[in-house]
Amino acid sequence: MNRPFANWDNRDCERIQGLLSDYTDGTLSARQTWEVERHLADCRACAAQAQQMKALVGALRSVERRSTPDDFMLKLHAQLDALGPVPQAQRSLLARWRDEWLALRNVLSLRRVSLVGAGLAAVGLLLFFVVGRPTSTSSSNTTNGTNTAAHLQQALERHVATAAGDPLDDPTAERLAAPLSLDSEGNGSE
Amino acid sequence: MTAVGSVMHADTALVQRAKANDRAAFNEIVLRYKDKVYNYVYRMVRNATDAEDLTQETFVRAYLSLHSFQSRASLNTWLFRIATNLCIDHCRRAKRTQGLVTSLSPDNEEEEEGLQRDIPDATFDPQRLLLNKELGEKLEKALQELPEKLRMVVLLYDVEGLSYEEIAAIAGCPLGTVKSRLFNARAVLRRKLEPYLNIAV
Repeated sequence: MNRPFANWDNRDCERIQGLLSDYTDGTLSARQTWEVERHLADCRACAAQAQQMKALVGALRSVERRSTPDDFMLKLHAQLDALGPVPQAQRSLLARWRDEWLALRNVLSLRRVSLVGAGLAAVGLLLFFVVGRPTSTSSSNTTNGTNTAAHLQQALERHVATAAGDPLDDPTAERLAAPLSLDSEGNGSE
Repeated sequence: MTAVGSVMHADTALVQRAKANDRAAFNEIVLRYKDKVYNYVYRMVRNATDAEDLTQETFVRAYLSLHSFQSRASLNTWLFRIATNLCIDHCRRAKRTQGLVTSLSPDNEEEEEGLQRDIPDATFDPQRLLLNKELGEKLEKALQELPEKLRMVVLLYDVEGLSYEEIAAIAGCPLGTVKSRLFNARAVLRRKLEPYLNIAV
């Protein structure tokens, strides 16, 4: 039913007009949507505003998309080349530690080892070397504890050997070679 | 995985590589986002040359501060935040340089709404309005005339499709403020473009 001269209070129109933006986006509650649609069915002025809002949002969402000029990438890379690599000093100590830990974790293939787990593994290694190696040196030693320690030892040795040839700076190699006494900066001490 | 989640996952991998000084990865990030950023910046600063410079600067700053980017955040939001800050600084410098007084004081939220500062278009001739193309041209002009903070929200929400939450993070304001500014921006635009919108409907 369309009653253009329905007796809507101005306050009703004001309230409904305040909801038209959200109504256009479809973000009103079901109840509010029903209230708006009931009002719009009877109020020509508000219905016109609702249609205009819909047309406006449609026009905004289909404005011409602009693109960068053709030489944009060339100019950008010229700027980046002039900067050189991001200086390490600009990176926070925490960021460097985090990146070094991620690199170490990947090398050791212990992707799921948390920092706590790594610490426990380090303690385990220490005990292994302090308590003494197992008497059997053959590869047939199948106990779980010695296999794990041997695996870690081999991984460490591989890492130290390969890190020397890595083009990226890998200060973790020095720490791994030292006994397990690290200061707050992560530097090992004898 | 949703489409948005898929994009974020792909972005995360690129960012990790870019952080390790992989220039090709950073290049890919730029290729993915440069046009979106430019499209937004162009309408914020209303000048093609400045828009190009500011878009370049956005990615230079991103390059220099990649180490501080948290992978859990959205790369899209982060880049738009850098771009927005550059645009705001640019607009403030322009105002100081040119002594513009048409833009409303950014500290006065009520005046910023612009509801009482609309200037009627004296050249309007309703008999010539038959094409949506003309609506597009009038819309661009009306967008340029919006106060900066209202323009930002309507560009990010309606043109770039960001969410309220993302815009709040970019603008550094509460969600309610974003919604309020969007409402006011649309109200101003609707009033200015009313005759054209009726024909468009």
